Amino acid sequence: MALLEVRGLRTYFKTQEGTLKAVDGVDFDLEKGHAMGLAGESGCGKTTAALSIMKLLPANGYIAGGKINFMGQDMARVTGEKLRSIRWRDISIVFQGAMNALNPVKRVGDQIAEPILLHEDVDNEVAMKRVKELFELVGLNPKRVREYPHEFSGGMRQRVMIAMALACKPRLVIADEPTTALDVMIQAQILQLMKNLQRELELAMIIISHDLSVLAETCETLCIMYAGKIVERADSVEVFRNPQHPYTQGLIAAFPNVKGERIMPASIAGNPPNLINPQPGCRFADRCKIAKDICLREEPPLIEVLPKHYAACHFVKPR
Amino acid sequence: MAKDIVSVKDLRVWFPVRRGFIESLLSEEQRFVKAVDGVTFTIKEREIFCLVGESGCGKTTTGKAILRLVEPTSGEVAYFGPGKEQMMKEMVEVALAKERIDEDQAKRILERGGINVRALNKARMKAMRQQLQIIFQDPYESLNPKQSIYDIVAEPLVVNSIGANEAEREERVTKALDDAGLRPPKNFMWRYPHEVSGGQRQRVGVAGALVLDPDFLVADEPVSMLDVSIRSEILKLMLDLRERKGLSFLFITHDLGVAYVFSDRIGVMYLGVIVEMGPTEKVIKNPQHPYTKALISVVPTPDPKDRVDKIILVGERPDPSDVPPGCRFHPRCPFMMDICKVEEPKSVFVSQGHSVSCHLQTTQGAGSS
Repeated sequence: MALLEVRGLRTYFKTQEGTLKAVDGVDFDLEKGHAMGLAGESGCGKTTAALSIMKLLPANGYIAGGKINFMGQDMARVTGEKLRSIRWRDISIVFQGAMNALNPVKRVGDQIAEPILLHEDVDNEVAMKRVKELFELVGLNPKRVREYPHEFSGGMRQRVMIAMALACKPRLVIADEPTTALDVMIQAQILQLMKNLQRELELAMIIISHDLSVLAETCETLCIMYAGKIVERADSVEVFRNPQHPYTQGLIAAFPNVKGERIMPASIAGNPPNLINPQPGCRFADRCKIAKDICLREEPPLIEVLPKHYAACHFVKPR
Repeated sequence: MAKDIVSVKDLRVWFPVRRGFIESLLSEEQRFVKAVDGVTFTIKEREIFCLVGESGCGKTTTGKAILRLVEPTSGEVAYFGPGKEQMMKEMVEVALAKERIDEDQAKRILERGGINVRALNKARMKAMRQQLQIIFQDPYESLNPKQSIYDIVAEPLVVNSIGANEAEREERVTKALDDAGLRPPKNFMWRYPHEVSGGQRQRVGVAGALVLDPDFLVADEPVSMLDVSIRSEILKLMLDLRERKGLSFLFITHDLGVAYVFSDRIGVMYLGVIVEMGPTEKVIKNPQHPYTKALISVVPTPDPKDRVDKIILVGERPDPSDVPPGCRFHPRCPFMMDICKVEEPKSVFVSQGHSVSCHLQTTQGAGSS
């Protein structure tokens, strides 16, 4: 059985204009020790989908339907103490923007020790010893545990965030745009670290990014999201070799490739639809180059096009 | 051969490090953050010159120093574009009248052409900035949320007292919005920044720079905050502006992929200096400096078959207030030799227009240059 099974997840937000359907029917599985990438433009619901697993939604957000089966429990139903005991102990998260996610007036060592002290019956000394081990694990000097976040550079802060996520030996780590604010060189360092940790600790990971190339280098499987739905899901090599959905093809074409020919990448014209009152039919239809009448009327289901390769488009037929 | 539009020679921008009370009593030597430490390049008319490097390498400071948004410590910034003759003549006349220069010197200055941007006084600099404009990185933070798009774009006109009346200003704003691809301008003019998408916001930033009809634009990471799917639209807009208006660009980015598809020439900066410079194709396909090679190798590629061995440098960029002696890159360089610790490498040409500052070029590959 998979570590995490998400079925028909729907997460909505109450807003003044109406109900915003940020995530509208999403399915995926994640095996132990595997990394999955969630990709898409900003506002496509990728972060909301991942935060729903931990039930870390803002006050106006709620899970409107679906099942999130994590290690035999439905996370969509879990509340109170039970939920608190799962958060960070079994599922942890590396937040976007390490500068804003760390407390600036608290020593980093104490911040990492906090979840350990909360979840495990250990004293401060044992916790600090664990923090030092974690520092070594993520490539930081253990002597720096008593420093403050501002004394670390951007890349090192991101390492602190990763150490914090690993503090209670979780089984699943969600990384929300882990390298977006970083330079290419530091990005490469962090991605390498995450890949190594994932292998060594047999972690399951969900990596969220708008940058497909980052996901391609770290994940085994990829889900491409558009307007609250998964439009394509497959092995990450397969997605790049053989993209089926026009949106995926557009995203891949939008990348400048330094190792390839010098051509201006294509862009996808238009904007994502409003999710308060989405149009009927395929949500990508008004930006799609091959859209026909049927796309405006009927919503395409996510079907298995090739073995273990799913896509949701009227013009993609199973082979 | 195209004419130069901006030339930068040995530009330095040093920021003094503030000292504490005790430190000042001990009268230690004043230290400086050497953000830009001797940068030389020229940008030709209708050229897109790209500065790439990690954050903190001084690329943004270089761009700002050209517009004197930060004051350069030393070096020369010369502008050769249109509109300079009138200003030069005036300045020389004033200088002659005050007997600061003689007739001979005046002649030489006029012949050499190129207005020394650093020598301009406040009023002249303000006039000069109509030719030199900047597009900022973050369209989410560089636009005032309380101003309508019309007010944002019209502000440079108001500041510079251009346009006799509101109707004339409106006409120029309309044209700038149209040039920036916000069509029809009427639909966007009275909206507020939060009412348009990220890509459209950046177009507002471009319109704000275009409204004064400049000849030279500094574009500071204009696409790094945007989604990949709309980046190339903004890049295409800038290419289009170059075609139609003959603009020249200094394009600042940390993204080598963008630099590769967009620029004519690339300068790779490391810790305040340019370590490699040349035509885009040559720098990306045949990099010579170990730092450039490492930077190119770590650009993530979507296609697994393009994957090469990465050269991941250890550590992060060193502190610009404490620049290593010799070659600045030597503490992180995989090919470090003894000479690199003591002697700063000179820039050598490896092929037409492609120069590198690395001891590897002068010691082993001397024959190839």
